Amino acid sequence: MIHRIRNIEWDLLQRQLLLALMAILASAALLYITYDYTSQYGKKYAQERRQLRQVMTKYKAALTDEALYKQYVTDFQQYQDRQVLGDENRLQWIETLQKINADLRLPVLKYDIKPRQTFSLDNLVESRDNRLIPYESVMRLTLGLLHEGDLFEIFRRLKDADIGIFEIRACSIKRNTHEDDIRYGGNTPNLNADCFISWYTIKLESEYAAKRR
Amino acid sequence: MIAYDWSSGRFSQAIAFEPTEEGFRHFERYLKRSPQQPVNLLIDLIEEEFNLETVPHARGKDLRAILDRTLKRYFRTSELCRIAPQGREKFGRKDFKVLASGLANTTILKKWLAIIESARTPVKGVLSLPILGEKLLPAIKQHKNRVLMISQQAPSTLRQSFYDNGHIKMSRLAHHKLTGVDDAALISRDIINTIRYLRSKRLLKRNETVHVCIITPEPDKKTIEHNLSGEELIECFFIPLSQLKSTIGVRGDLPTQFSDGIFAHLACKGFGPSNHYASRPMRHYYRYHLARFSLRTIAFVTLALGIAIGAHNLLKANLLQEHTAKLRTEKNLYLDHYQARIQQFDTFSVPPDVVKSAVGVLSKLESEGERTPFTTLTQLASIMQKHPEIVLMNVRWRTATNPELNALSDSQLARSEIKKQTKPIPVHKLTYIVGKVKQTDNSYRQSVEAFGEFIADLRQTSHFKTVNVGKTPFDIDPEAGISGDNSSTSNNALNAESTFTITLLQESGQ
Repeated sequence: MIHRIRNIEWDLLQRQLLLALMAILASAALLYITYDYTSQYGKKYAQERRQLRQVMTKYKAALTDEALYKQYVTDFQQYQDRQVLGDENRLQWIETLQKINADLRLPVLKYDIKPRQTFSLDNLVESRDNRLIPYESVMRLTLGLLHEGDLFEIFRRLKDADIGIFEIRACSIKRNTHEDDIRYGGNTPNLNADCFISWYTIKLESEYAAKRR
Repeated sequence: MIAYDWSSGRFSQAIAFEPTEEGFRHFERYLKRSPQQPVNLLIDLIEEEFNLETVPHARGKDLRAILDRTLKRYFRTSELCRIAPQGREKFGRKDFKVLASGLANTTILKKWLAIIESARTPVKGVLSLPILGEKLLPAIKQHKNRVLMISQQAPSTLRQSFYDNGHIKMSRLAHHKLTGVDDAALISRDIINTIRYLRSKRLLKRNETVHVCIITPEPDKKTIEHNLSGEELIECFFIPLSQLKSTIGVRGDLPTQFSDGIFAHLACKGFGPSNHYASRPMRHYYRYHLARFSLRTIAFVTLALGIAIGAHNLLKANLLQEHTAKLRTEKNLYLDHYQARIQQFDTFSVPPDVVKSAVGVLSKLESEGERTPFTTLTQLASIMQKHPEIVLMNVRWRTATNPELNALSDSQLARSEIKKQTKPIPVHKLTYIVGKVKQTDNSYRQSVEAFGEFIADLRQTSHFKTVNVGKTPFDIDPEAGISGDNSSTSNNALNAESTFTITLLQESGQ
């Protein structure tokens, strides 16, 4: 093989070899330059396409957000106004009870509000949102009633006051007199009621709560 | 030696060189002046021999060995020879028919070849004029006949080649001094002698017709036809050079007045194989020529590909540029829309899904708040109206996740006390009632019946799922004791308490 290569008369081929070499180099240079040029535009194109996709995704998300806001924001703001979002307003509950009793003049109306506790939303809804922290404040109402209608009236007025969301968890009504010994008027109750109601509030995660209006 | 300059079917010049020292020098100078183009060496020499042979049927290396041996038998010292197949015998062993042809004496030719070699001129091939004649037969539509082709390439020679079915069988070069006087008679006599020779050699059978094809510049047709008319089974026809050259595609004039230009054109045009006799070393510089051609082709193709791909890349870049601009416009459009949308929510930073979740949870809690004891009490009150003898002393109402939960228990009064579950759990309403039956007219039976009717009414209503009597007002079970006072001074006929306890269960939603 080496012998064969040595015997090659290179002078007969040198021009063509040079030509081929130059052509290969020129083509390679041309390809490199144009490929580099194209790839620069390719990168810009890919970047632009990626950005467009991101903006489109954001835009679609904004549309979805807009639809969600439109659907839920009114209710949300109403809940905010009723102070069931954020910190509870115990003072208002008490004031409302005082106002109700000023009107009804019940012989006995005692309240006892327990410290606020969180509870699990898993027991309530299918999919729990961890960004919501539910709170429950148990209020014990001890009432002296002239008749059972007073109990109905107290809870109706509490509901109408629209100062929060509450749920009656338990209620015990006990006759205070013998069967036919009903007293009309005065400060001695005919019935004693003992009710447990839960006031609910929801706190949002601190980052949203801080930003909230 | 005549050198023809042929290009694209046209002869530009023809230079003759004498086989003398001076002629050799002229030829050498001519080659050095000429461009390095490949040459075909067309030989029309008296030294060329043709020998028909049959070789036994064999294959591969065996056949090659037999053919080499046969060729060496005729051309022991010559390099310029070849052996070519010409079909098979029709009968017997069906041996291969081969033609061994070549130059018995290469002395003169070697001198010319040496000059070509020293000038490093690429030799494409050494071609035999009679063998090349095979390719002329289709042009004159004689390739399926027995043809004796008479051609004149030089003033002093007459080439007679015999072809059978397109294959050369024999060829001879006769030296004649054709002076123009009585040439036709000389040619006729030579043709007759050749045909007799062919018949004697059984290359042409006695009953077979031979087509005599005369390619000469200005044949004396009448004399030749007259001379051959006495011979049987001879068909004679003449082909003028002017007609033949246009048939095979020669452009312009032939280089000489003879038929050498016709065969030279066939040799250069590429009819058939481009080499008959040249050995590998003789074609040494032709391989360089091919290498140069290949390198030039590679250079051209590479450059063309480079330019094509480069142009494609530039076009692609241009397209990408256009598309990028379109994408940018589209992106800006979406950005504007997006900005317009999110500006609405600037004052409201709670994410919409949180808003949705919060509203969902609060709505659920609110609906849970609808669960009150009042429906139960109202239902009880309506039943109580029918039973004035029943008095309720104590009503305890509560919600519970466990319907078996003891109504007296104070557990789970708050949601925070309920153990965490994996899914929402139904809430039941439990009502525990303590009451008593008024005893009227000391009628024990009436009181028992009144309580029974009261319970029946409770069970009849769809409001309560379960009505469970914990304690009956009067225990009349035989296992229990019972006592009474029927004295005229006594108020109660029975010494029994008439209190009862009932537990009512309502499912969630009732």
